[in-house]
Amino acid sequence: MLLELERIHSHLLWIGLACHFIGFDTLFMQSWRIREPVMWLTEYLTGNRKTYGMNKVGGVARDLPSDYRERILPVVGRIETETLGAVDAILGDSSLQARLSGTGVISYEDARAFCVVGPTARGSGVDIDARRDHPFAAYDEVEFEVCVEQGGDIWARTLVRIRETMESIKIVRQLLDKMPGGPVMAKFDEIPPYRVGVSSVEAPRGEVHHYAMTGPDNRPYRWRVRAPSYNNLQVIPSMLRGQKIADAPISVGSLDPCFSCTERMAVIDKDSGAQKIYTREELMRYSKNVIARSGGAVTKQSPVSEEIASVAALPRNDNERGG
Amino acid sequence: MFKHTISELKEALVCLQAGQVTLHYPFEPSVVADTFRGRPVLNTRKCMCCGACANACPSRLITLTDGGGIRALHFELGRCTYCGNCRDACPQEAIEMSNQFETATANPDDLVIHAEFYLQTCRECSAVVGSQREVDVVREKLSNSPVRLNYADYFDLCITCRRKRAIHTPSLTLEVVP
Repeated sequence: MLLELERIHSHLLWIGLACHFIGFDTLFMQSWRIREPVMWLTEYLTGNRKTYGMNKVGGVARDLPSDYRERILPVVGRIETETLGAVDAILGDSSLQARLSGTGVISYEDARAFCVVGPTARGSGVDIDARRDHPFAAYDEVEFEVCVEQGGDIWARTLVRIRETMESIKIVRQLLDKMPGGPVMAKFDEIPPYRVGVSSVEAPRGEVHHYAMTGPDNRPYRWRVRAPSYNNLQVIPSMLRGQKIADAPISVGSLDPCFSCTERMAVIDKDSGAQKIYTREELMRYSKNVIARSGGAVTKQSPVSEEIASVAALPRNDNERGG
Repeated sequence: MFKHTISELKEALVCLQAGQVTLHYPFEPSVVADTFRGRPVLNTRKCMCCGACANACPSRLITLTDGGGIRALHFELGRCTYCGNCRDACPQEAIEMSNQFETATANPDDLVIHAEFYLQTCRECSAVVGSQREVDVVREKLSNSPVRLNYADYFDLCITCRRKRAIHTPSLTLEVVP
């Protein structure tokens, strides 16, 4: 349910940003105004506007407040009427449509070739959605439509996001009806080390994959995230080819890229503050050296591996916004 | 063209219906929800420096260091993700997630919590037993429970010396008073 609330406000944020990129700041302000009650709602439900900190190994960190139904329903209803009003206005806006149609086109073939995900793929007619294809959480218990548009341009992506916002509101309502009671955490003993887990979640921007290997002391040993922006950014060169420079900001913006989600690691020298980006070869050589030095397992004796470990330990996910 | 004008009027209506929604922040306070997780605050009167928070912190920004007869509890809040795990783990309820969210600062020392506690060392081998506060809390809890400790000086011993003592006289160490 929180993921759907997240999707509602993320799509409203994107609509606002897209309008901002093309100089239509009125709708930018209005869609952010419509979005704000969701942020207040999640602050009440989870304790924070954006970084909810709800998911834990074995369940969720805290139960919803007892009056969550009375809190969520009016907010969702208000968002629905206000979004419908705003969408009704922009769908008839021929100047907006003329600006967004035919720009930033990603053909169906390109979308398949570059493996774009999320609304970007669905705007190009690729019918994928992790919520339906690999049902996780409670998505197999709710009915929703996967919104696909054939246009491939920014207008199609806008329509996909608008329709998905409405679908999310529907899903939240269904989940509120079906929400079971009971404990929020499962009981478990020590987490067995060196087991691998992979999960795929449909974040607002597309599929986000997490790979985790458990380690000793109930700590993760390896953790890798593939954010949807990583896939979507690859399509930029083909999307921008032959376009006007003035179309570039909105074209790149239409992918809703999150660079902070995509770039995930930097090695910083603590004393001098110098940054270093490792190439693939260096990383391979480095990891082999460390494993050889420590006799099979990476230990914390190496200062660099400690730094990497502390960077990896920062919980980040694609749901977070850079700012 | 006509359709376009209508949609422009609708857009104007959306704006007019909203009215003014912004606050005069920072000149008026921005109120957060009761459940908001802001900057963690440590109540040093309640804290016994057991290190449960350091164990629970996913960012590993809470550290315990022993030295010079003092155990130092150190929070490096610049890396805090405000998850609240330290609060949930604390047996003394000494950590509170406050409603402070204006934590931007030019001075990194503003984002540090540092608390020092006296260390209790073992009477026999001078290894670390725990912080003095921790030992006091256990002693007090034990005095309110039906379990009686037969050696009053048991707390002055480290775990190794306690084991040695327990092996020699196992029945004498603890006794349940009906």
